[in-house]
Amino acid sequence: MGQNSLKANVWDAGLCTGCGACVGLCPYQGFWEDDVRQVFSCSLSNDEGRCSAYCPRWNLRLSEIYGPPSNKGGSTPELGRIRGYRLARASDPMLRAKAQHGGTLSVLLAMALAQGFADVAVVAGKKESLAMTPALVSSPKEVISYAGSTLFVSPTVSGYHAARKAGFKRIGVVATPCQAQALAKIRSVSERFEDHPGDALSIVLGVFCGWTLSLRPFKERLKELGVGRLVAMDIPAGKGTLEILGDSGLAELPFDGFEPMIREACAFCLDTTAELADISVGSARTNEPWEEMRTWNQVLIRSERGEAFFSQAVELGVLEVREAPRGALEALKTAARAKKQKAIRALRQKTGPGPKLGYLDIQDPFLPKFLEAIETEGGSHEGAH
Amino acid sequence: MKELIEDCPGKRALFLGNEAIARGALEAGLGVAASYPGTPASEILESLALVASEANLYTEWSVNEKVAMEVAAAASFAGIRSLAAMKQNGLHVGSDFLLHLALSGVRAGMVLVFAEDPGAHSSVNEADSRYFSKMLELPLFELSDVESAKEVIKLAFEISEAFKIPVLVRSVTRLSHASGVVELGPLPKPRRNAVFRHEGFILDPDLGAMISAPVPLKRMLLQEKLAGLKARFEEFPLNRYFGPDKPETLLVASSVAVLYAFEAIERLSAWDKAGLLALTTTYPLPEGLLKAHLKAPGRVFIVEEGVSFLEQSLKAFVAEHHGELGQKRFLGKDEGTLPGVGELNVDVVAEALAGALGLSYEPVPKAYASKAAEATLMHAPQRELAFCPGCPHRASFFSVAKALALDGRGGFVCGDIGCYTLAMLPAGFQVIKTLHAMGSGTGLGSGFGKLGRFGFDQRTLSVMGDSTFFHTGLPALINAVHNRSDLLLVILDNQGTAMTGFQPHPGLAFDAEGKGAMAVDIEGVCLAIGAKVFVADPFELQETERLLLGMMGEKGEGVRVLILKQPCALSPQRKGKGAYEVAVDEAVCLGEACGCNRFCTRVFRCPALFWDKNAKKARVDDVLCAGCGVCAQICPSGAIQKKELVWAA
Amino acid sequence: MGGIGLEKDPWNVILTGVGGQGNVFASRMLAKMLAAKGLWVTIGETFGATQRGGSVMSHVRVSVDRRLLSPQIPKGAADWVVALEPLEALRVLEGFGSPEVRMVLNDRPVYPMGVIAGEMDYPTQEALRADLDALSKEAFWLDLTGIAKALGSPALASTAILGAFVAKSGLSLTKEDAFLALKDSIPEKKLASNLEAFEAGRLAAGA
Ligand SMILES: Cc1cc2nc3c(=O)[nH]c(=O)nc-3n(C[C@H](O)[C@H](O)[C@H](O)COP(=O)(O)OP(=O)(O)OC[C@H]3O[C@@H](n4cnc5c(N)ncnc54)[C@H](O)[C@@H]3O)c2cc1C
Ligand code: SF4
Ligand code: SF4
Ligand code: SF4
Ligand code: SF4
Repeated sequence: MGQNSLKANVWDAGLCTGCGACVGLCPYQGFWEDDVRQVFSCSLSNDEGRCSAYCPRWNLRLSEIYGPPSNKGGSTPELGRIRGYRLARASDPMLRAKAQHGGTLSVLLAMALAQGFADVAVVAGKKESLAMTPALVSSPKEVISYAGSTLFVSPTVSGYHAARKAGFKRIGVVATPCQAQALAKIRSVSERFEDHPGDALSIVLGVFCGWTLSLRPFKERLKELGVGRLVAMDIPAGKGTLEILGDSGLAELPFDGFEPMIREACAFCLDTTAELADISVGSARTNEPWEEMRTWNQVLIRSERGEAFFSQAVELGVLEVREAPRGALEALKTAARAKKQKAIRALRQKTGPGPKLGYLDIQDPFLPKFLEAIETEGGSHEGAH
Repeated sequence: MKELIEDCPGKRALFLGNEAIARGALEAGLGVAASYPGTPASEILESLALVASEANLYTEWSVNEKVAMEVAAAASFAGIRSLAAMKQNGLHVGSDFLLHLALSGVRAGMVLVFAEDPGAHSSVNEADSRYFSKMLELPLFELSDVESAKEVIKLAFEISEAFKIPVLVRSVTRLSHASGVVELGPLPKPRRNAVFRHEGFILDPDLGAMISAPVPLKRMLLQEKLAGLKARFEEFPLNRYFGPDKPETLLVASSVAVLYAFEAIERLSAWDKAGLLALTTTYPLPEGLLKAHLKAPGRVFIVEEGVSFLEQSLKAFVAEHHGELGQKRFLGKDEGTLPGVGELNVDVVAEALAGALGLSYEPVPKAYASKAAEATLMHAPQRELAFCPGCPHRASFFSVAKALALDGRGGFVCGDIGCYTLAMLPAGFQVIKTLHAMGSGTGLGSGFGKLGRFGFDQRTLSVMGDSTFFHTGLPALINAVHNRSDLLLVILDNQGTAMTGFQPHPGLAFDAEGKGAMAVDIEGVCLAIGAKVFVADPFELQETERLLLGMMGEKGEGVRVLILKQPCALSPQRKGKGAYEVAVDEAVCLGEACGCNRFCTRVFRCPALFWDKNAKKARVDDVLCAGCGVCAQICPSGAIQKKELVWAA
Repeated sequence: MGGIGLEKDPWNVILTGVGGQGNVFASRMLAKMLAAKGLWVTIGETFGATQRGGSVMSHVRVSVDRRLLSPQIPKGAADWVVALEPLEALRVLEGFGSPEVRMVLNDRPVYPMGVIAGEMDYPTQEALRADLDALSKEAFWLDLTGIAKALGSPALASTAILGAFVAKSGLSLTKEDAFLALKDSIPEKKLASNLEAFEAGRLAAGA
């Protein structure tokens, strides 16, 4: 059963990322606050249903979403394909001021629209209630109003469906790792459906992601703290705190208090850097003070398309670029590997002894290799992907 | 209903049981009748209201049954014969007043008819309320057939007035909703002059105040009346005996069970062995009559629906008089000769009686019965209950179901009494999870909404209809507001008491007789109480869902009220006047494919939408479609298209 | 007594159909016509779900003498079944039929919700006919909805079936009797079409 598989194995099992890939396809699922819910029950089977076919947390074959191992572009088990690794930021300081970090994402997105890489972009829109809802943006000027990160789940992939429904044929998406996985899965199953749902995906801009927070307890905490309306939030590098900017001012709170609010499903996530995007962007880690560091992004360029695209942004002068400090990539790898190892442990624990491993398809010939690469302490096997 | 007030003694007319009751009251010189609609009692007041002006009556649909009894009692106090009618639940609703009315007594004849529903055809209970008579020390008559019902009601008025005591009359579905030929009696033309006398001695039944105190003295008076009634019932013409002088087995029956017992004996050709004592006055029992009939038979088979009320009385009676009557064997409900639940009928009684008499009862040849059973099983799909095409409740519950699912905090609906109880079934997406008495959904909601301190974090919704709001919903709502209960109340305002046939209620600007009345504004009342109130049209699905989700609220938020206003599809203002012409565009319909999976027919289930198995497309049945246009909003592909229709005013 | 003899006493007729088809109306009209001839008639009917697509049944019992009759016909004791919907006839036979029962049937199905929703199957015409033939002495099938539609409204099938039943059962009831029974109970503008439907039903049944 399409929906039943999701209900039993994903939603009720605490594995749902909230990526939105199963939402907006039909009247049976809905998204509210930060959760997908079964609204009515559907009786179609997995073979017929798109929801389970698209879901990154059901029957995921790494070999299919990553595609065949390629020789071009170094592929690492921790970070996926890497064609280039830079620090970057928007040249325009005004834009940087509105962005989460260096504004790289917003710049790349605006350029994608302006240069015709995409006819529409799907971004995370913020609602009054703090819940996120995908927004479709087709004018480069509008992009900046969606800058800044909120650390809750956005059902972004449902925005991709909406854009397709609206008739767009070249769609760009800003995606967290799970969302990028869902988009990759849509691409990999595209042939199964008459309308080839993956065909309209023109570019995926990835956002690094460690985890997301659950909205309801977070809102309750905000109320207790008397923060008022939330303006922005961030995790300053190396401080172990959460910054919350409300309309009553900035608060920096120990992160420990928020840790229990981390979404359960994030514990099973294998990806930190949105490995399946064309370009992935995160906050920079340098030796400068946070005030300076936060104005930069680290960027992983992954696909050929991404490379061309990034160079164009630099050529156009909308992005400033510099080399990342030594050891930064290694540090990123270490962090990414740690997340993967933790997730595999969590999956093993969840599914118990036996061959099953959560949402990963154990028939996948690629899986044993992947597990070996990640679980072997420290070792980095080039070309595992 | 011309025949109801035809003054043509001796003429025969075909009456519904409830009409026969109404006619009986008219022949007794009725002046005032009050009721609250409820199946199977509604037609009593309905038919009286129709002839109210011609017969110079005052009739009203009261806000609830307790008030109906009070309105009727006031008339009696002022010397006007009066009737209060209700379904079984109503007696329970009004019993507090009745408790005191028994003590104060009445003046002009006052009859209280309660129509019960053994088998629960249109109730969510199977109450047998006859024990109220014993409990409150009031006389009880049980109607057995349409033909005699009219006579019994006339006698009830006479006795009530003679003994200055309200008389309880029990009907049941199979009488109220049966029809039979009734011989009309004369219609009196009473000269009525209402005066309430209250300045005499407190114990003076005609001149004193109508008060239940001093209690011991009033109870003594009441018990004296009962003793007198007992004697009077010895001669009561509708306590009848059929059969041989000294039967082996005596059947004692009341209510429609009289008919079942009679026909059972007939079908078994057992009149040589069995006799039937058919009782109308089942409290207090006429002792002389009982003694006369109980002496001979060794076996007494009590045939009654409900609880073993008569059976218990007879057992006690025989025990008390065993010296005179000797040892008896009792058959009935207590030892299982008759089933303890559900309705009786001729076959159930015949089978039981055949067993007792050592006869066999096989009304249908076995081969035929099994063939018929098999054919039905194989070929007759059940008809499931559904909301009507164009019903506002389907739309309302669709949005409620969605909002509850999306909210995801284990919310549920406390249901109430009305058509919308169907929301416990797939017809209403199975959202109703508690169902009790009128107004109880909100009372329960008020209680659930205070459990937060014990860790209760589910959302509580209550639903009720507009009529229920006035009936008993209002006190529960006030309770919830006052106590800051965490409750979302959805009022399904379909502008009438739809379930029982569009009787008006206090929210409407006309009364039982169709005359102008003060409309009490539900929204205004809710606001005045201090609830947060929103109003929406349930046919606007998105807006309704948005409001509902926004109103789900946080722990401790207090009472929110959403009034969903849309007249019933069968209401005179909407019937036959669809707002839209609706059709499915086959080329667009997704049918069974992913993305729809027959959402309209499989989930939404409007009876006017059907699944064409051959074409694998949905279709609209234009004969059934009420043109509400709601399905066009739920179709994921936009295949259901609506075209606005314009109706001349 | 208007010359109506009964083939049996009491004579038991069940009218059945689906809520909204006019079953209750038809049973009242039949009972009124018979009562006007001096017969004692009772009707037992199940209201309640009548407006919501449920099965509906009215039991009409007729006798020459006043007597105590249960408004519900006992098992196996139906002499005639008059069905506005053929599947409902089958359901009635399970409770009240016997090898002696005769039937007048409108051949138009009204699909139950489960069938509409595509979850259950309505029996084929052939299967249903075979069942009903096997379970009755005689079964007369007529397209009464068709006749009614031709007269302007499918709702007239309820009066048309009465006409057909009167003809088949040999009751000496005429259009005049129908007029007397109807004149006080329906709005005047509907009177003519109902009488026409009654007559059309009679003729269709070979009167
Ligand atoms: C949930 C979450 C967790 C993150 N965790 C890390 C981390 O652990 N390490 C790290 O280096 N970086 C993390 N980031 C990324 C970081 O916050 C910045 O988004 C990134 O550095 C890009 O900065 P920028 O200035 O280019 O972004 P901007 O130019 O400000 O653009 C931000 C873009 O992100 C999109 N967006 C905002 N919120 C969300 C959301 N909740 N879901 C999906 N898209 C969203 C917006 O639509 C916008 O297009 C996280 C981001 C999110 C949303
Ligand atoms: S199978 Fe298709 S129609 Fe059913 S829930 Fe999944 S996406 Fe929706
Ligand atoms: S992970 Fe994404 S696709 Fe899977 S159930 Fe959750 S929201 Fe739907
Ligand atoms: S909901 Fe719309 S698309 Fe789906 S079956 Fe019905 S008409 Fe067709
Ligand atoms: S418009 Fe649609 S929902 Fe309304 S009655 Fe017609 S078919 Fe049913």
